[in-house]
Formats: sequence, structure tokens, C-alpha cells
Amino acid sequence: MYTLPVLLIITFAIAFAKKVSLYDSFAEGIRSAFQLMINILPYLMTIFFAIELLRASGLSVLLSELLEKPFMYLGIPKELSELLILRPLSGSGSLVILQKIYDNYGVDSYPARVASVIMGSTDTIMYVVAVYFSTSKNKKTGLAIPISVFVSLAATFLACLLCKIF
Amino acid sequence: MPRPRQYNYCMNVVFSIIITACVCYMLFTSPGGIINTFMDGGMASLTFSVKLFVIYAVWMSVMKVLEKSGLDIWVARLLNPITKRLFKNESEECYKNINLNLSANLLGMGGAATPLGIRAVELMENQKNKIMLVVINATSIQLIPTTILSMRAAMGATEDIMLPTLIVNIASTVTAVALVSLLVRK
Repeated sequence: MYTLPVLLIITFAIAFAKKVSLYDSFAEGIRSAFQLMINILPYLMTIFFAIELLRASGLSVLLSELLEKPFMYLGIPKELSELLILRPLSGSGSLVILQKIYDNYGVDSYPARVASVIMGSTDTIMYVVAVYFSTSKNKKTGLAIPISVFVSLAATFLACLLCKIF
Repeated sequence: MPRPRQYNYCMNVVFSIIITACVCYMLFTSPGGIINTFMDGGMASLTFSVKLFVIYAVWMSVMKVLEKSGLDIWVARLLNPITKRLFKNESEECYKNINLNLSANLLGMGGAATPLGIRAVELMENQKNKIMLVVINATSIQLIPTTILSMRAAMGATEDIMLPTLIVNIASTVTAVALVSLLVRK
């Protein structure tokens, strides 16, 4: 809890010693953040369109119900299907579903533990790929998405397995 | 005549499938709500952007102070032996951003990591290096899942998920790096 404030104070102290203007540095930092947001926003909004459409149309619920059976055959608890659909798209959305899993099945239940491990060891693939390539001149993402999806699926299986052992 | 592949080929495929399927499905469930749904999504992205902007503004300000004091190079040097092996033939400025992105990620400071990662990809010449960094980030490399741990603590969890999470994380990062170096050309 104290690490971050202490690191900040050390940073500021060194900046004072080197006669760096904190005020101007902050203004510059904020300006570059603004520039960055302008570059990111178009890609961000497309993802939010997709998330909202999936949610409002009810297709995500339908899809997760359809996927429950195949997931069960693969050894993935069916309670997780909605989380697995939303995880690559939305960080905040998947946190809401994680909370729902905690509330419905108990925080120490098997599905809740697997869900926690999945949330801690995978990321919002579509969002990361879109945003990281947003300012790059060559936007060819190549195999970035297929590899990330495959690795995340493998991570999901491993999480299911490990939560049975631990 | 075969058309040249679009830039964001995979993103385009996923995005097209999602919005087409959803709009078709809504034609039967709530045809009047389609445009409103787009508006809601757009509004949600703006609200989110404001929050994201503030997070980035704070972290990029701190990074600016580090940069002007010459401390960032010092922090970045620690990871150079690993990154110079993973990412070949890039500029020093680029390596600095890769290293800072990876260290911010490892420390669980996602807000600081993203702008650094974007800058690193922007500076990269080699497409394979870009994909490598993006895949490492997209498959998560944080050591301590702070948000999940605090959510679990708030619910009064007794079971610990730190060890399995760490094992899965390490395994997935290693697999990701191996797959990118094997499958991506150039």
C-alpha cells in the first residue's frame, strides 16, 4: 500500500534534484494522453458497439446457453459460458459477470474459483489488439488474434484442471 | 481476381460477424431498438474513454517526469537481456518502451502499461515483433491479479487462487511466445 506513494516521492525528489519542472511534465503527459485518446476512440467505440449489440439483442445469453453443453463435454463448468464469451471483448463487462458468478454460486465454489483464475490469467484480446495497433502505420494484425484466442482457451482448460487439484 | 487482404483482417471478420448476427437477431426480437443500441454502445464508450483518459493522463504524467529525470532508461535496462532476445533489430527508444510496458504489466499497473505498449508498437519496424508484444499483452502477464483479489476479499473468500493463477499465467505466456516465434513469419 505504501510502495506507490514512496516510489512517487522518490521520483519527485530526483526530479527536483535534476531541476525538472514537474508542472510542465504533467501538462505534457496530459496532452499526450489526450492525443492517445483521440487515436484510440474510433477502435474503442466499435468494440463497445459490438458489446452493446450482443447484450441488448440477447444473443450473448442465447449463445452462452447453446455453448453450455459443448463446454460441459470439454470439462468446462457450464456456469462459465457467459464469462468466456464476453472476456475477450470487455474488461468491465466480464467483471460484472464474475461478480454474478460469486453471488450465485458462492465465492469459494468450483466455478467461482475457475472464473477467478481465468480473469486473472487472460485479457480482453479484442480490445488489446485493436488499441495496440491503433497508432501503428501497418495495421496488419496477422495471427495475433488466432494465437491469443488459442492460448486463452488452453489457459481456460488449465485453470479448470488446476482448480480441481488445489 | 483475388482482392488484397484488408488491414485489420481478423478484427474485421469478428466485428462483421458480431454486428451482422446481432442486427439480424434483433430484427425479430426488437427491430425498433437497433439504432438505440448503437447509441447506447457509443455513449458507454465515451463514458469509458473519459475514465481511461484520466487514468492515462495520471500515468503518462508520471512517466514524463521519469523520462525527463532520466530514470526510465535505468528502469528499462533491467529487462534488456530478455527483450533484446525476444524482439530483434529495433531502436533503443523502442526497447525502452517495450521494457517499461512489460514491467508495468508485471507490477499490475495496467493503466501505465497500455500507453507504453502502444508507443512501442508505433516505433516498431518489424511486424513479427509487433504481433509478439500484442500477443504477450493480450494473454495477460500480470503477476498479481489485484482487482480479482480485492473482489474475492470483499466477498469473504477463504480459498486462495494466487498459485493457480500464477501457474496458468506463466504457462500461457510461454506458450504465446513459442507460438508467435514458430508460426509468424519474418
